[in-house]
Amino acid sequence: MRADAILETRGVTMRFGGVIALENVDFRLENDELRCLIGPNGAGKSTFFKCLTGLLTPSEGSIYLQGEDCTGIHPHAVARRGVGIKTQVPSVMNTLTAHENIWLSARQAQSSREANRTTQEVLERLDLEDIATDEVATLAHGKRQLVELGIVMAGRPSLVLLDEPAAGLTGEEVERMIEVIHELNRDAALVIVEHDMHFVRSIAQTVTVFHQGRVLTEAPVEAVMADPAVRDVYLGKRA
Amino acid sequence: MLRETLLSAAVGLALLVVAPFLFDDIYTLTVLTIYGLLALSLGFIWGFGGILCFGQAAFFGLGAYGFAIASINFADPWVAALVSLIIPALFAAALGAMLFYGRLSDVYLAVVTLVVTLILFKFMNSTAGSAYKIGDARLGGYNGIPGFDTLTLPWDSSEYLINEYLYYFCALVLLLAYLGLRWLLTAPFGRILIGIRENELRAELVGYDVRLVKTLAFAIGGMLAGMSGMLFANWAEIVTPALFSLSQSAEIIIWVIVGGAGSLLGPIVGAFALGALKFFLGQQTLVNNLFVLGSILVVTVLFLPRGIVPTLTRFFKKRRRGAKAVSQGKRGRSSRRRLRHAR
Repeated sequence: MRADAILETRGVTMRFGGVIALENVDFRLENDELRCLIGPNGAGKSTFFKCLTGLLTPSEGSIYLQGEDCTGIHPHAVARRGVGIKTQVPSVMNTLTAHENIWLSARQAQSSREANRTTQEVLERLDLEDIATDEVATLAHGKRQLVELGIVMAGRPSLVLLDEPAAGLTGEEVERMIEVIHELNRDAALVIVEHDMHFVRSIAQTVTVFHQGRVLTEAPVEAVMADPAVRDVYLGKRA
Repeated sequence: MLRETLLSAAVGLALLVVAPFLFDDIYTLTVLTIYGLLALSLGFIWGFGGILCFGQAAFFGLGAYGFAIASINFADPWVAALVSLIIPALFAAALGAMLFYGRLSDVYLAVVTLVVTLILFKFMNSTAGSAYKIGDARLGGYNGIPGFDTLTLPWDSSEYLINEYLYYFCALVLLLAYLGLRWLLTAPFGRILIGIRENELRAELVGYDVRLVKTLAFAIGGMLAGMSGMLFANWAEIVTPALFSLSQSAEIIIWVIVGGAGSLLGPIVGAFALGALKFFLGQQTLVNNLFVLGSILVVTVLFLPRGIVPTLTRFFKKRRRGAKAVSQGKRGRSSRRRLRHAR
């Protein structure tokens, strides 16, 4: 394995009984790279995402984080290896405030004083100071997505895994999300599962297309958009 | 926060000191204080850790039996008291580790803890034979263990800790446990525990080992319940398998629901109120005790789902906020009036 891969999978296969959700997936992500995973429903993107986060253990194959074999380790151990994770549905601590949510993430690897400082920084970076003391349950969907990104940021990750970060956001919020993702990409590599091709075009350099549990193709975004095989299985003829 | 803690410490201390002067029956007051500690132990793990344990009576009974057995085997009852804290804490840690590392969901957790309690109840009932002894202590089956040495005054080992002395000792333990838990909940451990209660997956995804934190919280709850069991053994001067009974387990849950699981004070209030009611009802035969307790539980769940203390706290907070808004409005109007006069 070359030394600079922050994430690599080799032959990852996931079976649920007789159903093969992932088959022999080889994937490699370089430091500071931003990669989008696309594909039709049931293609295996979310299963692959769950394998990377430790929520699922692959039936076969290996997952390496910065060269270390991390196959089947618990999600908290994945996070402790510098991986920030954002789930599809905002996974936040509802009755706690935005500040408390972000602080708890920062406190995991920092002292209380340092965590206070980091929390303040993150709130400022995401323009969340106004709602810092609001209960997250009372916030709109877009703000909750930002709070969850704040939680990810506060952990100072070197690899960020985002599952559909633009889902349910308004046009303005999507633009803000794109800015935040570019900002995150300054310090970390990103893997983003996304359906919105406009969003994918705005952020990704390279795209991995999943189809029927396998990697169909992996290429720069424009090449993927023009690929007849991808158009056939996912984008449609008019894309 | 420090001001609030000091204030609650002062109020709590004053209440516990004054209580014996208000109630003649120090014997009942002592056991209510012990029940308060027992309810607090469940209130902590359930209200703040989201762990619904149907078997808190198991740790209560283990603390009581642990004290009785250790007291018979060791010369110093204070050493026995220490042993009686360690046994339930270790038992809770082992059980908790099995439950949380085994990824048991909430419902199964409740069932397993209940079953553990019932197993202990059955087992203790069947230990009447002379083969069932630990050191010099015979477990005694249905009759339990009587006649062990209870705690003595620290400065005079010939004087037993009874009556007012025992009450004040129990009250001090309750106050310290309450303040200790208050502190713990504001410390990082407590905040992480609350975070886990709110969203276990999120806590895991930011790097917290949820299984470990829950096991530790469960062990703390077990130790506190064991401590109340130890105090109960000193109060009753006998321990029997009834300590592990289903009705004991159910009663603790009712105290916490009625008092309010989302606060530390709620379970204590619930235990005092319902415990006192139980003793009062025990003196008459007109109304069935369990019927009244059940009715109170149903009424509380229907009309005060958060429990007495959290509902009152919210009510007074709202009122205070309302009064503040009104006074600010009045101040605004009068200053506008002053401005108009000045013009």
